Amino acid sequence: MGLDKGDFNDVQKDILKEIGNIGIGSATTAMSFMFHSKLTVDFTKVLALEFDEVLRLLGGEDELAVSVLSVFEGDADGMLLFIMKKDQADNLVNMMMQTHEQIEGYSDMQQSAVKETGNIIGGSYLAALESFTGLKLRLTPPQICIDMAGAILSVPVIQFGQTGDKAFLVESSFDDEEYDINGFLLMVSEFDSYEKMCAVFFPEG
Amino acid sequence: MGDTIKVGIADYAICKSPDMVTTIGLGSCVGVVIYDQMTKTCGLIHVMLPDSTRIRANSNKAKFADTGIPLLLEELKKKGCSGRGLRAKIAGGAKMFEFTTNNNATNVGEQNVEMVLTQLKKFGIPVMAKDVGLNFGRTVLFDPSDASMKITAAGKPPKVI
Repeated sequence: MGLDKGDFNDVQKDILKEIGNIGIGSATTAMSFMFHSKLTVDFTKVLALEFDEVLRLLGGEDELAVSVLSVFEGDADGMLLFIMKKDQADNLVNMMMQTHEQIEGYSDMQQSAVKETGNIIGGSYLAALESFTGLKLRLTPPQICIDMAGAILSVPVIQFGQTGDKAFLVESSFDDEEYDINGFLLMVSEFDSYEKMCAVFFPEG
Repeated sequence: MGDTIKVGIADYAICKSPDMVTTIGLGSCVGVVIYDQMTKTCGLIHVMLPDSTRIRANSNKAKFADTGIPLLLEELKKKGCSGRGLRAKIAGGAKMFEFTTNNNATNVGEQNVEMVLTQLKKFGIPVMAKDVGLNFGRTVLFDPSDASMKITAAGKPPKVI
């Protein structure tokens, strides 16, 4: 099955979403353990999006965003970017640390809380992708960046923008009794890597 | 009051006073303004990558520093701006994420700045001011009436270069 440059058909989207569903189980367990509370993690929406549509979802280029970036390499190369609006990240931190504060600069502790969440979400998704496709992938340690959404998103755009202007996006949400938090997990990959993933799904070619 | 022209990623615009020109959220990208104070005209380009010869899909000249600067000069020339009166100011080229691996994609900001400076030197355009590098995103607003470049960054006081 062929793949238009940077585009996905409905079947491929379903598969990528299903991988998300598999990833949810381990993410939920890990997050609930960390938060010491019953927590629901959901990958609600799966979309193949142009980068400016991603920017719109985040509120525009100059909207403050909190992001965690991990690079994966091995049989396929790409990046996982977990990104959320600053107010959503504030809620996430408050939920994790059981505080109620308006956060100005993130402390090291608060940064590592966000980093760990990004790591769990990204890692769960990648583990599911690995077991589904049989591809061997290694994830590098996550890095955090709190800045304008436009400046953050330019990083995956620059690295993989040559191959297509679309990213694969999973909208994720975390709910407990008090908060309902939305974040986005973006998977950006080399065109060859998308092909490899899809070749596994459709081996007849 | 003039308008403010917005330039997106891998794009450019020519602007004449009283209008101003802006580009939002420069990460490792570089915003280059070449201006002519006589005619109060300027061009702003938002380049993403240093070198078009290293990429296959390189039809968009504004995406690359090596093709973007000549393109901007050509467009300025069409508006009657060329020669020794031209000056430049640049901003951006940050390293947004701190990676320990020595992947060349992670210091693309530095490479962008280097290529921009090389190109400007090649065309004999003096760089009057620059605010580049470090680890944060920048938004720039250039006013061709007084050649001021206002730089704003998240959680920092704005500055003018």
